[in-house]
Amino acid sequence: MERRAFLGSGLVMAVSMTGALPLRAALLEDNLECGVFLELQADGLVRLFLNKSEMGQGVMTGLAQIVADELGVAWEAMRLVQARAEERYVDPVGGRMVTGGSTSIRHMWRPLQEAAATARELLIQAAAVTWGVEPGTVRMDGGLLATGNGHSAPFGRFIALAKRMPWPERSQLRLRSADQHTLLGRPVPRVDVPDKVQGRACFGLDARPRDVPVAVLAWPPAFGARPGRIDEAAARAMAGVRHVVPLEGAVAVVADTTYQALQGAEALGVDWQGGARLDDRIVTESFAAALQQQGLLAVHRGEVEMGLAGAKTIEAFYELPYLAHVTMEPMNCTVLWHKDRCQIHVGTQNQTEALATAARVSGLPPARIDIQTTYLGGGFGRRLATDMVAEAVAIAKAIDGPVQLVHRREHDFQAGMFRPGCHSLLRGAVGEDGAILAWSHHVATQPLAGPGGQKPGVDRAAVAGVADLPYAVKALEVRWSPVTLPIPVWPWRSVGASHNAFVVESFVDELAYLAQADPLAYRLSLLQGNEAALNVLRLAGEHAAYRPKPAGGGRRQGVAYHYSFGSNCAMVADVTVQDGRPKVARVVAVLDCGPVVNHDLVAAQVEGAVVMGLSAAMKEAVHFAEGGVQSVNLHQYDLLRCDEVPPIEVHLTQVMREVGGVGEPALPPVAPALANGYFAATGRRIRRLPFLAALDQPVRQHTPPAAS
Amino acid sequence: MVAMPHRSLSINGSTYVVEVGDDVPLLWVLRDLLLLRGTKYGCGIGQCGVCTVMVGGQALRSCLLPVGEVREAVTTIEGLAADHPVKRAWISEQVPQCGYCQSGQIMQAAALLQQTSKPTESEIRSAMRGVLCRCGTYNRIVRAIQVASGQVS
Repeated sequence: MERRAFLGSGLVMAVSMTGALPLRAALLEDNLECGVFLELQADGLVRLFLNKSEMGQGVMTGLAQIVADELGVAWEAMRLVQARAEERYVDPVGGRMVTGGSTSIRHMWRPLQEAAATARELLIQAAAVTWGVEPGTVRMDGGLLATGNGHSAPFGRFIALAKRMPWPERSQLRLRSADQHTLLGRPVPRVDVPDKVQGRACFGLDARPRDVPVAVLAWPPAFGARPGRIDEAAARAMAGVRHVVPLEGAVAVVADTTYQALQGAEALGVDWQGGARLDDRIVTESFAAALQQQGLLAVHRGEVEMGLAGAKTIEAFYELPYLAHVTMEPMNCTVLWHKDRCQIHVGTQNQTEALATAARVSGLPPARIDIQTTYLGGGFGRRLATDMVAEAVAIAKAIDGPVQLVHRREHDFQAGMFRPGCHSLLRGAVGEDGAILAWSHHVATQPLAGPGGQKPGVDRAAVAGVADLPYAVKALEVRWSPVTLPIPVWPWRSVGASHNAFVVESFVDELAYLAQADPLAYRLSLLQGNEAALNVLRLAGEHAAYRPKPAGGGRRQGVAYHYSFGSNCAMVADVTVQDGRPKVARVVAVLDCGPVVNHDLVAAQVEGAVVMGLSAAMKEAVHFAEGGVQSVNLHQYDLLRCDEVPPIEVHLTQVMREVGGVGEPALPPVAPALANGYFAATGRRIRRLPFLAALDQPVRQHTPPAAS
Repeated sequence: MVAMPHRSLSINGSTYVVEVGDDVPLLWVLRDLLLLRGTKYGCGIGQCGVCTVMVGGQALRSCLLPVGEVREAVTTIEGLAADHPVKRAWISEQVPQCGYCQSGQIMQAAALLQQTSKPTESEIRSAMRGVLCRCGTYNRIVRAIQVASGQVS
């Protein structure tokens, strides 16, 4: 597409931005339909339209740092605007407007840098023409264009002329070199922190205009149940209740205020029809049955059975529970409904799907739907789903008016969308020299369709970190058996790695003990040639003052390593034991995510991932009963609390040259580091999570499939 | 319909007269009637603490506190001075991630420091255990309280 057509079309809010220079920032693969907008204003401000959602990971700050640094403007000149849900803002790599998979910086760094460099180049050309000098003599720093011999002016002065300059070829762009960075790599304070500290940040629940009513859902106790006869009398008699709206699998009560809607939904009498047969026993039996199947072959390399026939062998059965995201802000969505158009305020990780969902449910064309992304009160994958949008739009359409849908916390649990449980059966053999002769790994999980929908074949998430096992093994067989259960499952921070890293890293530890090797040294010996992995493990050992010791009392150390989302992470957990229960005394984490935009943002993500990983490992499990979820609020599903958190040391290292993910990779190693440390301290191997529950229960065995 | 009582509440140094039933939790009076939305809804059963406000200097869970039982002055995140040492420390230590729980964390911390000017780390951790943070900012919270109380800089 012609560049002039872009500039002439006034795509970027041209009405309000007289004199502004809209720059199409989509250069990747020359695909002009992808990208984000930079807007340089004559008054010296730079607007960055963010196509990523701020859910605590600091993405606003990180992306703005990239732009300000490359463009050459003061940090204070940046103005951040959350982009509307529109095709033109899609992630140029992923092709969708989605925040997930630890990809924001990975995908946006280069396109934003190129967009900023393009803008700078146009301005330099304009300044050079104005001053009658060679473009090569003009620089742009701190918002000023200047030559070495006296010319200097703020960039705003050149905007009109820059619009008429020839668009530089992508191949001609000269990105700033390392010594020219003023903001990249600096711990710039987060732009969202002041508002969050003053209580001014607008989350989805805060986006409701005063006179917009609130909808709360009566939700069935069993998955899949449908509302039959509805006794509305008690609810309708309550103050403020305006509407009762039956939906497909729930009934909405709409009232003037949140409290009235909460009370109204509670008072509603619903005769639920049908629904799933489900409880904890059925869950366990379904996994056991799945492991009886042969399953789908994901990897088959070498002679596994031959390897298992001789030498020293071990068999282990691992069990992990379903987990809830528990974003502190329950799901919600505000729809300002105007019949022929609507505006939606929602904290979503998935604008593309939110728009498609709203269009499908409302019947409105996407162009008539304006999706505004608020701050997200936690994401962790849960807000990749758009169930809250579908519900809110359906209610708005039914009552033909605006509404804010609020999930009460119980409903947030009951609606499911859990990290799938996982049972795994492993067999391994080591030779006299400690080499792993065979590794047989059978995973049973529910298929994790996620936002991309179900794909045929082996579920990639189910075997993540196993199919691509980093350790040297002579023979590897990985199989996956899908589990059929009516539980809605969904990506949860670090997805498949959140269960498989526990299994793989525990089992490597088991093999190390079988080989009578130190667990850290053993890993190093099996990762030869993988410099980034060796580096994070060695550093973790150094920073934790790791010392090999036999299992026994006192403080012991557990090691774990995992590669996920493009980054390497190693961890050492110092574990003490009191009355048979573990206490983590310290976690040392080393992350190699390649080049870093802002070290403090990365450190915060690692700290948070360690806490979430430890919370899940120690405490968390969703329980099922009577067709649905038994643990429906925080008294039944407790999270790690302030007095249970150990000191967490974060070290970043940069052997990798590629940019890796940050939000997720530090979560997977936590649980195995804990379990390995507990084993070092007690000689007892915990193969079942959560830890605290496993300690109180007898060891469970899986009956392996009969030989055929 | 029964007429709602008019009730006078002292919040953040101002007096508000609201028409609301006795049993409505303070949380919803703040959020829905007074549009003081810095105080958040998390669980509704006093387990997560993100709705924490100060009532007469005590940190209380506003989701469980019927407005009819509020006798003393209420302070919410909006009423805590913008340059309060706790808020300043929260910024200098870059505590928040998603930020949703932080109003509750800050009010709990401010109440703690009002009662104990130099709490030990273990006193801080046990005082803060009632407020959950899913992003895992706990260690920064502890450090920020130590900064705010002048124990570390």
